Amino acid sequence: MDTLNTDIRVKKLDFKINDIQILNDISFSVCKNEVVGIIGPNGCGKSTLLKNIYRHYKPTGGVIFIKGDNIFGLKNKEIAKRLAVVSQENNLEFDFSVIDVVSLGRYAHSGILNNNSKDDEDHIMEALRSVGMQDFADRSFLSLSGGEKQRVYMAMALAQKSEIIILDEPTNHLDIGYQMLLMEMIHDMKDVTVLMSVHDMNLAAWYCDRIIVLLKGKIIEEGIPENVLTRELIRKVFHVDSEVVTRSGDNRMQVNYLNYFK
Amino acid sequence: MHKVNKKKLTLIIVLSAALLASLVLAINIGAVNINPKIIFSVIVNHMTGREIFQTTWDTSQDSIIWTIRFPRVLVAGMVGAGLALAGVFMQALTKNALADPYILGISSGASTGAVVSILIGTIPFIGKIYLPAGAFAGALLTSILVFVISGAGIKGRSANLVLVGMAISALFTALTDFIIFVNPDSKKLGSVLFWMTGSFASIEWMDCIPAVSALLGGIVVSIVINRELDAMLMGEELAKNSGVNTTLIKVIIIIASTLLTGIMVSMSGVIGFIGFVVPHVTRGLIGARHKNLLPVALLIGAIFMIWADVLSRTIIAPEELPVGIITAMVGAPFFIVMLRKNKYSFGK
Repeated sequence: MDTLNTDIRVKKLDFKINDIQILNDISFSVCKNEVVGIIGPNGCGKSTLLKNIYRHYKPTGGVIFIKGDNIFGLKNKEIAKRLAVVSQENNLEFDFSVIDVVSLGRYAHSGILNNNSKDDEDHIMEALRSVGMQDFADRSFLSLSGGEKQRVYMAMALAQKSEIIILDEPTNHLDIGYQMLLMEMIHDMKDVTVLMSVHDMNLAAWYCDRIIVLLKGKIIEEGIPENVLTRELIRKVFHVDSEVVTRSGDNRMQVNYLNYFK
Repeated sequence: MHKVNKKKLTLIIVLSAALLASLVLAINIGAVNINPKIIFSVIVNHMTGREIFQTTWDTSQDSIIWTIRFPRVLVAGMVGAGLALAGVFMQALTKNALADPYILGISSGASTGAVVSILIGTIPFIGKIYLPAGAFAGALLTSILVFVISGAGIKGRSANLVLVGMAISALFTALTDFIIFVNPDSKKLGSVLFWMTGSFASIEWMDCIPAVSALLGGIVVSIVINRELDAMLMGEELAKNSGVNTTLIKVIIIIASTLLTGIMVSMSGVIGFIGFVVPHVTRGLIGARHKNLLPVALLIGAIFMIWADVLSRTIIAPEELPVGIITAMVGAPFFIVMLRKNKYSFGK
């Protein structure tokens, strides 16, 4: 029986593609309102793990619970009400406006007539404001830069008003300012549980409550950033020598990368 | 948002007026030119069943307007709108702007089915094959083949869809040619050949019933699932993550577009390119959102086909050209320009 406080629970998850084991015996939980980051080298299975959780893939073994229910027992709309996703594989080629894209975030809340209510429009504008895109509402999505598109997808996920958000490398395409703005926003969101894959270890350290480290499809470490992000772990996982220091001004931990070794 | 609504309303009003004008002009143009006032009077008198306007025309004019040209122009408009709608559906399904019933080979399948029904007529144990039934069966068979082989149907990959469509189209065209070649009944050959490149020459009032039913059915489906069509066109993963039952929507789209294509092709023969030219032009005018796109695409599809038909019967008058030649002459260069622009891949 799942505890009420667990929003995501992954139990003995296995995933293979053409007999190649991509994920191996993965088990972890994410509690309500927690921000959990998944780190690991390219090809370690971060995105695949997230894709199993949001049902892009079907696991070859194990079970995944979202708010206590097996994800394969839920309808798409029920899942969308609980879980919003910002994935890496969005490739919109047709001429929609920014507001059209964000409106899709309200789909799970719509009735048979499918029209956006005043309430929906408020949520859409609020989501656009929170990513700084309110002035772009009527702009063509195709005319936006990669970073602006990423912010629109984020707004769409926020408009979904679900309690859990899954983000696959959300800071991709963003300049450092928007990377920090986005992570601040994610960190400060109230009553939202976040599971995301992150490349930048400093962002992971500053904004995640907990970090899961994946290597070759297995979880090799899990815990609070201070305990997980050690010189030894970074060496083992990324083949990079580094120094992990505590900054004097704000006492935040900081990872400085020194050199790569083979 | 309000800007788009105003533009949409203006477009719908302008295009509706243009459609009405096209209907009257298309009835007017032909071997015998008839005064538009008489056209209006004849139609009103027939529709109301009373002599609202005093009869100042002869019976041959009455017959040309009411029995020959009016149903022909109406069906042409409905087939244009229907094929444009089928294109909209298929593009949302495949996320590929090149997808349309003709390019995906579905029209060729319908054509094979229709030719079988014209030339062979009966199949042992099944009995007489009526033309619409034959065309529909052909359309259904090809759409299943195309979607299954390319994997673009339920499972979600639209890899090589256009290429698979072209291969299937070639296969069914060859099959049709084979049936014609081995069939000794040369009397029927002329009508078959004419039908294979599309024509509205033999349209009668009875043809309006399947055309209206298919078009209305398609429009109702498109209204009900307009938001899901948006979501599908944005990307299947995005649609699914937003809560869309993508499997159900794909089944609905496949059935609706196959029915529309099968029924429309059974009346007009194979008419290519409408399904992708019209949605593409419409997106340029009003954007991709289906709520706005659908009414405009239906009107443009209808107007386009009415004028293609007018051209087909006037260019070499008193002879008639198959209307498929006109649409291909517009559509094929358009297709090449789109490929050259590199905006749309050959299926991925």
